[in-house]
Parts: sequence; structure tokens; C-alpha cells
Amino acid sequence: MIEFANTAAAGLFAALIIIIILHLLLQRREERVVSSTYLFRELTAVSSQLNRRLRLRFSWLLLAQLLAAAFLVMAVMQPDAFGLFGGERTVVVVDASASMQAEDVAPNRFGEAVSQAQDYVSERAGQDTAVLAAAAEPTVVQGFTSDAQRLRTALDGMAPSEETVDMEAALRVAQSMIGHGHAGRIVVFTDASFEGASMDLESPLEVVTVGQSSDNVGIVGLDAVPAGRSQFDVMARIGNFSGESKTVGAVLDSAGGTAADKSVTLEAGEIREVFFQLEVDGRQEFVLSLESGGDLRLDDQVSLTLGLEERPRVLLVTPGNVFLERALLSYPDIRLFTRESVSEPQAYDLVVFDRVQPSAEVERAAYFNVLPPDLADSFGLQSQNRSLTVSSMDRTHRLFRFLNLGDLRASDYRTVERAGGIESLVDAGEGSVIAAYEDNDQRWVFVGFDLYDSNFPLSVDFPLFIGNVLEWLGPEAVEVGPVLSPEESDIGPRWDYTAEIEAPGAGRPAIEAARISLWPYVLFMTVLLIGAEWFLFDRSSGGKRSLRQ
Amino acid sequence: MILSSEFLQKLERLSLVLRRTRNRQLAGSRESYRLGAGLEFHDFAPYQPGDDYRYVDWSLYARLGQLFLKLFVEEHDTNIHLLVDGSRSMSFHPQKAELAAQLAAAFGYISLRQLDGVSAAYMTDRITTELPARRGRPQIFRLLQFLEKGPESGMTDMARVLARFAYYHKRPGLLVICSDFFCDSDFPQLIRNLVAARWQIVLVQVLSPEEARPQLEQPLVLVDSESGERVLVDAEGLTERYRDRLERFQRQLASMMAFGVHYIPVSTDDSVEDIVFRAFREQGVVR
Repeated sequence: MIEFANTAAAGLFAALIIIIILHLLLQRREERVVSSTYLFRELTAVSSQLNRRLRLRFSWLLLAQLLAAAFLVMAVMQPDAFGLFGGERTVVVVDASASMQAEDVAPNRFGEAVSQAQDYVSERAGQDTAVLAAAAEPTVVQGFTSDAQRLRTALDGMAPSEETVDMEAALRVAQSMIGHGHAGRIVVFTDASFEGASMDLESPLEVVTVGQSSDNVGIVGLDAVPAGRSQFDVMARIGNFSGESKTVGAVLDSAGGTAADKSVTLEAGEIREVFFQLEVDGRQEFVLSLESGGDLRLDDQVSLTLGLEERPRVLLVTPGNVFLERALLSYPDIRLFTRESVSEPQAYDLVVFDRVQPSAEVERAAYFNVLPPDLADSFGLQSQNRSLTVSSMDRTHRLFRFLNLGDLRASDYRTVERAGGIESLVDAGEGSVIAAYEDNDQRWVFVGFDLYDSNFPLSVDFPLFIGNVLEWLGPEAVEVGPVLSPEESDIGPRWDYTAEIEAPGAGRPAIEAARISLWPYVLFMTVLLIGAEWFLFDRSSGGKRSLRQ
Repeated sequence: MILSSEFLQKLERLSLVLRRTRNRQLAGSRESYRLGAGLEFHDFAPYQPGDDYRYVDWSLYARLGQLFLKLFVEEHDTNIHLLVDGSRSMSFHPQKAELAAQLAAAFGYISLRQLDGVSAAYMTDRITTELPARRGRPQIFRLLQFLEKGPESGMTDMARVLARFAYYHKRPGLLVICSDFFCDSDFPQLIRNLVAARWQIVLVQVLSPEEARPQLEQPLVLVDSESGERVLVDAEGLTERYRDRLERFQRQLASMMAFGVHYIPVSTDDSVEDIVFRAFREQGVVR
């Protein structure tokens, strides 16, 4: 197989087009004297049209020049041959998952893996080697090269991620880089702290493990729910992944100091929930930290933001709806404004349209039996003049949390199509009667019937539904920072590659001298062609002929 | 000599076929429309006062007691003008110039033998050299000598030449033009004007095989031998398109036959004897 080190030079192939154009332009026509051109003049008009097409005639000189130019460009592209003469390709895979940040070895597992990988490529300088980073998705850091310095630089530039590793995908990519039927080797530098990666490999696999410790206690989950006007219940999941019982301190700090702390004793392998109650004034940031969290620091801290700057402003646009007004007023954490027509909807955090046609879309809105004209067109709003028969319901959606809705009835209803980002919560066969839409910052809910023609407001589900709507459409009162998955917090080695990977010829010694640079030979061919061209065309014509035939 | 003595002997058998002309200057061997002092009797006419009584038929008067005049067909000569193209396009293929001169000489020889006055001239964009009209057999050597001198060189401008010719030659006669007629100017119009002025015109188009069937198989720059003009041509279908163009050009020349012009295309492949005895006869120019 042949690869080019300097593929950017392929652009120089454009020079071939220039040579062809020059040949077309300088194509010499034979002159012939005739008694008179009188009869030819009329034919020339036709001929000139033909000439515009500039047909290229075959010429040995042109062929020689094109070949010489092509060889020259190929020489600049630095072609390397490998595999043709029995060489072997090696793919170095470096685990860049979150667990590689464990500091049981100095400076950490990832640093150690990179260092060992650099030593490895240095020892095998001159051989064809590539570098692959294994994380949630494998990334080729450096394509095949025999330049050890380039490989070391590529390894230096690598950084660990906070993701879980998909080693199986990384190994598949490595194998495809080597290619089927080619001699190759995959060398993995990892802490092996992931669940199995079972597969058959064509090439031999060599695994270099870094770090053996499993001493880690980490935060593997964090959530908070409002528990009153300014109170929040915070739940943290803490796991002990070491082989012995551990007692750790969990501390919730804010800008004003420690807001809460607890000491937790966890058995080996135990994951436990720890609860805190916080009083929040407005919007406040907290950091949950573990003391004595083990070798991986990454999972010892998680940020948490609670509360809102001010109560959300909710605008109810309705000709009058006692159900909606009562349901909304039952939530003290909002400021409700009721209007009969829309006025400056952007001044509110969310708008509830009840049977009043909005003129345009609103970023956060609940539409009761109406839709803005744009949305109505986009999602095919249709009126169904018959009693509602629910065909299916999605109770998993956040809007239907704690809802039953088993006996929903409505005399007339309207539907939207189940397409284009619409999530159908209540389906009536012809389309969605209650639907939710979410796209970046835009969210809206559609309820396709008049509440006065339905039993929905009389059910216990109605105020809960309105509460869910307010929560889903309103500003987020709880924001949690990234939390490491338990798989990554568990930093102990779990991958038994000797059992899970079928790799024939493992341990086979690599074949030396894999890659051969071809550019000197190509350059020699170029010189040979230019010499032949000079000898055959220029020398015989005293140097007067260049691009002419 | 431009024509062999054997060929000249054969030409003795031929005579030009010319239409009658109205004018008369010198008595010759041609019948004219005019009736008068000839040898060939034509008709009788009643005597009118003022008629020349030398032509009164007195024996008829003796029999009938009425005066009648005897009318004779007046015989006179016709001037034959030979215009030979002397441009470079004719000398480019020497056979063309030679054949044109030979054909003109043949016309001249036949005419002089019939006591017609014969003038000859070489033309390019003007009449370069001219042999004034002479009659009588002894002039044949001067004519052959003149034509033997060969053509001049230059560009053809047939229209200009014919316009000058018409200006200087008021008396109609027979005009024989030997040329390839490769000429930009609108000479057919001038030929029609000459015909209208009672001129009898014979156009002899002399072409070489290279002009009739050129072999053009690659893109060429064609250079005009007269003007040096360069014409870029592509070889694709050129031979066919040239043949069509030549046929169209020859049809244009032949179209003048509709108003009495004789058009005789000849090739240098043909012998002068074959042309005179076959082509000229077929066209009714000689008999």
C-alpha cells in the first residue's frame, strides 16, 4: 500500500491542466499556400466555431510533459510504500476516559499512559505507527507515519476527557486502520477500568495497563427539588468503589460558607443517597465536595445552582377561564397576569393562550385549543368535530408526571400532526391532541380542546398538569453540573482482555523496516522523463521547440 | 509554340457560332440583322422613292411591270476579345495559366481564320497587357506570341476590369474570359450589363485538380497566393464542405447561361484538344 506524507501537494496536479491548456493554445497548425482562399472564407466561419472547442490532439511531447509533471508532483507528495515488502503497521490506542485521571500513579494514569506510549513509539522509530485516542468516540490523533518525533508530538497534545470509554469501538477503528489482510499490531495503553469489550481482532493485541488502584469514593448523582417558596431538597448519590469500608464527609459550600455537611460511612461497593435541605435566597450556587474521596478527584466535586432570581411572570390570555385561573393561582411561586388579548408577550417568562389566537410564536407558551398561524400551518392543525377517543398516551413525559388521565373526554377537539419535533402526549388516531414541542430554547405545549367542553378541568389531574406545565415551560430552578458516571468512578481494573479479545498471533514480534520512502525513485523517473523529452524533442530541433509539436 | 501545328490544322475545321449583331463597321464573313450590300440573296421588297435603284430587279420589272428591290443579307466582321486571367492564382498552378492561354489562342485562331478582328489581353485587377484588335490570318503569329508570354502576377479584380472594358469597348462583340473566377468583386452583375449591351460572353473556368478536389485532412492555415490572406480552417468535414461550396459557386456562374452567357468549366487534367472539340462543341460555342 502507498500513502502520501504530504497530501496537500496534490493541489499541484493543477499544473497538469496548465500544460494541457498551453498545448491547446500553442497547437501549431500547418500552413498551406493555396491559389485562392476565396472559397474557403465561408467555410472558415463554420470552422471557427469548431475551433472554439479546442480539441486536443495526441502528442508524444504532451504525454511526456504530463508524465514528468505528474511524477514531479508525486515526488513532492512524498509517497511511502508499506506492506508491499512485508512491513507491519502498529496502532497505539491511548485510553482517554475520565478514570484515567486517577492519581494512583504520578502524575496520573493518563500522563503515565502517554509517557509509556512515547517510549514505545521511540523504540519502534522508523516503523509505521498511528495514534488513536479512545473515549466515548475514538479519535485518530495521528495517522500512520514512521516519524517518531511526529508521533511523540501527537501524544503530547492529547488530553483526557470526562467521558466513558468505548474500547470496543476504538479497537474496531484500529483494526480498520491496519486493514484486513495486512500485518499489524494494536497496542492499548489503558487502566482497564471499564466493562468488557468483547470482539474478534485480526491483528495481535498488546495491552499495557497503567494504575491498579481502586481506592475511590465519588459523587455519582446529584439532584434537587423545590420544597417550598425558598427551600430545596438536595439528594446526592455517593459511591464507594474501593475494596473496604470508607467514611467520607460530604460538604455543601456556597459563597457564604458551608451550607450543610454530613459524614457518611459506605461499605465496599455501596452507593448511597444523602439528603440535604437548603434554604435558598434568590438564586444561589453551591458546590458539593467529598473529603477523602480517594485517587480520582474528578468525581469529588459537583456544582449545583438553586432558586430563581425572581418569581416567573406568567401571562394568561383568555376571554375568561375560571379553571385555568384557579389552577395557576394555586402556585404561589409565579406572578400571574391575566389579559383578554396579547400584549408584549416577550415581557413574560411564559404565556398561556386560552382560545385567544396568538399572532406569532412565543418562546415559552401553552396553547389551549389554538395555535399561532405559523405553527398551525407547519404542524397541520385540524379540527375534529366529534367526541375524543384517546388511542395512546405517553405517561413518561415530564408534563405527565403524577398524572393518570385515564378518563379524558372532550366533545370537539383539534389535532396536530405527529411530525417535525412534536412529542405526542395524548394521541387520538388522527393526530396528537396534547402535544409538546422542544427545540433549543423554544418550548410549547398544545392542548387541543376547549376546557369547558372537557372533563379535564374537573379531574384531579388538571392542577397537577398545570403545575407540570409551569415547571417545564418556566425557568429552571435547579441546575446541576456534570456528574461522573459510576462506571468511571469505579477506577479499578475490570477488563479481562485476555478472555474477551480473540487476537491471533498475540505477542508476535514486529517485522522491522516496514516503510520505504518512494520519492527519490519518483524524482529519478521525473529526471529521466525530462531528459528523454529534451533528447527527443528539444535537442533535435536545436532547442527551438518547447511546447510545440 | 503555344499550340501545335497539328492542333492548328484541326482547328481549321471549326468555326465560331455567334449570334447576329446589329452594328457594322467592316464587311466580314458574319451575317448581320441588317440587309444591304451582301452576296447572299434574302428577299424582294417594293421600291420606295429614295431607294438605291442599283438594287432594282429589272428582269422582274420586265415580267411584272412593277419595281422591286432585291434585298441581300449584309455580311460583316465581329470583334473577338480574349481576356485571360493573369493573376497569381492562375500562375500558382502553371498548368492553369497554360491551359487558359491555349484556349484563348484556339478561340483567336478560329476567329482570325474567319476574318474577325481579335484582341487579347491579360488581366489582373486591371488590364495589364493588351494586344489591340487585328484581323487577318497573318495576325495569328502575333496572337500566339502574345499569349505565350505568360501571365503577369497580381490580384484578380474582375469587376474593375470588366467595367473598364465596357467603358472602352462600345461596339458589342464576343468576349471570351479564361479565368478561375476566384474573385471577391460582383462581376456577374457586370457580365449581365454586357449581355444587355448585346455582348456575347463565353466564360471558361479553368481549375486545377487541387482546386476541384483538395485533400485537407488536418487543421490548416491556408494562405492566399494572391493576397497573402490567412484563413484558419478545421479539417473536420472540410473536403465535403469545400466541394459543396465549389458546386454552389459553379452553379452561380452557370446560372448566367439563362441569359445567353456560355459557361464552360474545364480542368487542367483535360487536354486542350479535348476541351475545344468536346466541351466547346457541347456548349455550342464552336461547330
